Amino acid sequence: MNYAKREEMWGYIFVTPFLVLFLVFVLVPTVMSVVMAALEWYDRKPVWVGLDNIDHVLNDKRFWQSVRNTLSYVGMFTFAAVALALAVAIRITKFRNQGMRQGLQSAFYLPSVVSLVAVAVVWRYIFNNQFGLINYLLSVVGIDPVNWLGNPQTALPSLVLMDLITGLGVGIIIFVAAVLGLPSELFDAAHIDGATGWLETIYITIPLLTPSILYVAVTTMIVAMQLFVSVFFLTKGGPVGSTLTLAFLTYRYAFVFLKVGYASAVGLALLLLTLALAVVLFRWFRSVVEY
Amino acid sequence: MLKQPTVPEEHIPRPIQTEGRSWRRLREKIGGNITLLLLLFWALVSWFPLYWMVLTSFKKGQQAQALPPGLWLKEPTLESYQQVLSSTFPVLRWLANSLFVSVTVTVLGLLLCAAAGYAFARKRFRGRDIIFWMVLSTMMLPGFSRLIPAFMLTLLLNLHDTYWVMILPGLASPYAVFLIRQFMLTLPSELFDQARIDGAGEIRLWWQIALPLTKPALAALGTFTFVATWNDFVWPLAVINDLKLMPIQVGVTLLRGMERTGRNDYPIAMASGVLMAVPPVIIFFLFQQYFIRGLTIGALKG
Repeated sequence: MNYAKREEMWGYIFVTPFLVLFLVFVLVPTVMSVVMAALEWYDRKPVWVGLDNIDHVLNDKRFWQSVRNTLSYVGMFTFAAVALALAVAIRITKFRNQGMRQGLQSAFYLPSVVSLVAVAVVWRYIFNNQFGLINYLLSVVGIDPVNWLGNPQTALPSLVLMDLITGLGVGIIIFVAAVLGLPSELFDAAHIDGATGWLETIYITIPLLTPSILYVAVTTMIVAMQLFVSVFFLTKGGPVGSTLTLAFLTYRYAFVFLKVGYASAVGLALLLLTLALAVVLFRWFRSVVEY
Repeated sequence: MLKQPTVPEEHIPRPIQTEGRSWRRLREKIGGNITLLLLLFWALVSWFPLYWMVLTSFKKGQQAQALPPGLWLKEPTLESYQQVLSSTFPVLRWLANSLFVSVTVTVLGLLLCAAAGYAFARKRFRGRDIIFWMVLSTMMLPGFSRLIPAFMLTLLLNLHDTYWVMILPGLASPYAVFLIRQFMLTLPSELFDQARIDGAGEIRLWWQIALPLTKPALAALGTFTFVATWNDFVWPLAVINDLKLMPIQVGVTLLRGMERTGRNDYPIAMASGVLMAVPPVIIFFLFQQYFIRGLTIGALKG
């Protein structure tokens, strides 16, 4: 056996164990997620129903409501998370001391290590309208209590707030590393031209960070599209469907109402919508920056 | 070559005006301090829920509803921990399940993905680039849309209510393969050539040369994988119904005060929260420098 053949054989040997699992648990389910939208299941047996499920979904008010909710959550959260993480990261890079920077990065990352289940339960307590902390603090300054999770107007923004407070860690770490990786000559040049402080940040740092901003925006968006745990523990989609998300709807149809075909169609919508948003983000970033 | 730009008139350095400069310096100093305060405030806010969880877990039932809420610990009690651990549910078993599944997925997953990453980075074989591209493109898809297909697939394979169903899907991580490949691409080929001349076999090249040099990436991925598997909720919620096999994340939903909260249940719910938060936090403190590096390898070299 010659060298190239052996090399090829060992390539396959190393890749095969991963590839088998990848096929079974990632690729096949991905393909199935398209096919399954056209199936309904009766006692573990699939029946082809064509476009019935999709037709059903498209005529379902709750589906459109969850599309709206998901998109507004994703919009608010992605925008705020990227902006806040960027602001925090840029401030962190102003510290000269490396230990200080790393300490702050860790401090901001730690809350994202704790499971969402635990975080959600604490927040239900903090949001409680009788003895929750937020309403107590409001009462101290003389504001009437707000039923944060029980009011259709405030429920979704409350979830955004909660996720913002715990979920910035990854973005901050990536942005700090990205800022520190920028060539320092550019900043020296800017200093000579008289750009300091805010000017430097707005005209030099942020434009140069566009690739990292795009990366963080896309990954944040993908995670946000799948909002589930906080809805599951805090609101169950309510009040009056104001926190119903695509992920929660998928779950509820599949595992509570046992309508697997219908749930698959909602899942497919989640997939397509995420891809569409990713394309939009890529396009938008490309039009904003000229490299 | 870049053309040397001509410097516009107004950008030519002028004699420094001392008055304006001291003003600017003062302004910057104040601005810097304000943003520093905001930064510390935000850090405090993001830690507060965790503090609140730990604090409340040591309170008695009624104390958790006291107004004004006690921000410090008075008369700490372990009552709620005792109640969680002595409940009729096998809470310790759930913790053990989570630990077993997370450790297994971490160790086996790293081996599998390191092997695949090695092949993608350093071997030539037909279809390599297409396969790698396929692996990469699935990273852009929301995992949630695979939930139901994977659920039906594992149901048909009769894997529900087994440890397998919690372990196998977590092993094949496109992200891990991508990260390891990026890292292994940077290793100098001379090392491998030299070892080959010295008579090392293919397995030894991987195990004794590639893997040790990839340690930082492996450590980062290991911590990620452990934390992500430990914290995984939706998948085991869907596929595990057997009380004895539940991981802690799913098990706790059955405990008092988790899904719906009665009046005196907060300390118990918080104690459950603390129990499931502790292992990832420990792992984080042990490996934090790898965590930070690992996140940036993927984002900056990609």
